[in-house]
Amino acid sequence: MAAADWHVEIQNINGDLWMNSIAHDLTAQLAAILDNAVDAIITIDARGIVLSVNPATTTLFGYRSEEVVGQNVKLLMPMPFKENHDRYIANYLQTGERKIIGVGREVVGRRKDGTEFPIHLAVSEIKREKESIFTGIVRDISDLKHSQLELSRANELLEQRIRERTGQLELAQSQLVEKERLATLGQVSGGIAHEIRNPLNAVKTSAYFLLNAKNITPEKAREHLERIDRQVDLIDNVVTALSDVAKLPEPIRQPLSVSAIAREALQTISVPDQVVIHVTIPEDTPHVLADQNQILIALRNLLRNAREAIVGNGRIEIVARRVDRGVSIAVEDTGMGIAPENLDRIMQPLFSTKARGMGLGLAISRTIVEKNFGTLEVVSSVGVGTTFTITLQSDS
Amino acid sequence: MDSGSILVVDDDADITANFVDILTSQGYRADAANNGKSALEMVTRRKYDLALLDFQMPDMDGASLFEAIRSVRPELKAIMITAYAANNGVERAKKAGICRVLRKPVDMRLFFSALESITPNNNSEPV
Repeated sequence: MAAADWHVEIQNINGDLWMNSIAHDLTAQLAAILDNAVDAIITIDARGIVLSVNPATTTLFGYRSEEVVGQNVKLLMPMPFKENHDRYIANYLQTGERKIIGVGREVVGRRKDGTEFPIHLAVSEIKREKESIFTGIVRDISDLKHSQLELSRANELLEQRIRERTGQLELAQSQLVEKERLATLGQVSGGIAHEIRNPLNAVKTSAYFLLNAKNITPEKAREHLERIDRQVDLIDNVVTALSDVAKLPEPIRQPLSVSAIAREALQTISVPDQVVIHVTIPEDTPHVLADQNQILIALRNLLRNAREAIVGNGRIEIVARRVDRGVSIAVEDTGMGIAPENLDRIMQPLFSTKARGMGLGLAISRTIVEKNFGTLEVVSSVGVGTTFTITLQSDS
Repeated sequence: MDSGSILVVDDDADITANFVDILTSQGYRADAANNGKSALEMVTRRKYDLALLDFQMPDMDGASLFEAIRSVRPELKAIMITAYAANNGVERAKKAGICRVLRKPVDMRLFFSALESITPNNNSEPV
């Protein structure tokens, strides 16, 4: 053997020694890992016979190692897992269909003393020439399960409380609705009472005068009778307005020129000199489909409100705009504006912020516009002004 | 014949005219105002024994008007008439110092008994 070859031989011998040493270290390390693992680690053969268990297995299941090794792993399972285990393995070996291998799942373990406990089981397969062996890593998930149970109980309690609170809120809401209904009824009767008592007062005082005053001149008598007549008309107006709300006739819709409607509405509204009216209706504004008489009522109501909202100098604008499949007609004023808390109620029947007025104008206007397949919207800012916008379908 | 001077304030001119006619026929001197502003101007110009005030008027309500009047004429007394059924007006009126509150349509018997108890000379003869 040449010196160089000898040298190599020595090296090989040393290499084997080194490899042996490493293998030894590795085995010791693996044994330490197995020995100190918190999870139970169990190996079984293809028949389910336990080949080895680590110390954690004995701690977890209460068996001594020699009581388990050589036994079927079913020993560590309660029914029905116990009953089905042979079938699981056979089925896997036959079909290769994995139910637990490489997946891991929650099952139940059984201790030597018969108690059962939830476990997470992860199984891996070690394929060998003759037959596979399987390693199961078992983790006790009692604490986890307990926490989950607590959590689900807390959740249930929370849901129960939510249900109770929802019930209370629903009850409160229905009481509120009822209260609101009564309040509306009160408002309705109050509004009607106010509008009728005023003219009644005039009628009654005129009647008193005619019945009690001496030396009434024919002119004076006539003056009072005319007054009575006028005030009875006012009462009649109130009653008519109420029945108008109740039975507004079905609209007869026809194509209408927006500028013609605006012109006609403005003709019947008188405004003080210090209020300027400005109309902007582009020439190409399409005709709208609506009942002429009804839309005139609605537009006049809006114009009247605009006029009454302005104290001193001001401006009312009528602006028509083409919108999607329709035309919007805005009545803008530079009046006192509507307080935010009243804005939602302003179109309700019998709601009024005026000293005189039953609060029917806007309610009727909205009903009219809606019956004509349109919408009535309001935007307002206190001290700046209010814009009511009627949107109607166009003729096209 | 002059048994007291009365200012009638209501935004309905028919109602003020009626009260002026009735009061005049009963020997009172009566003037009419149809809003709070002119009522204030009138009490500033002339002395009245009593103001008959409507509760609800466009520019200011009767209670606020009476408070404003009192700052000019602290001695002036008032009767308020209201078309409202609710009591909130009555409370406000009483707080403002108004002697009597009557509902519309006014019962004239009640009105005169209130008037006679308030005005200085209640020796008026029925007309």
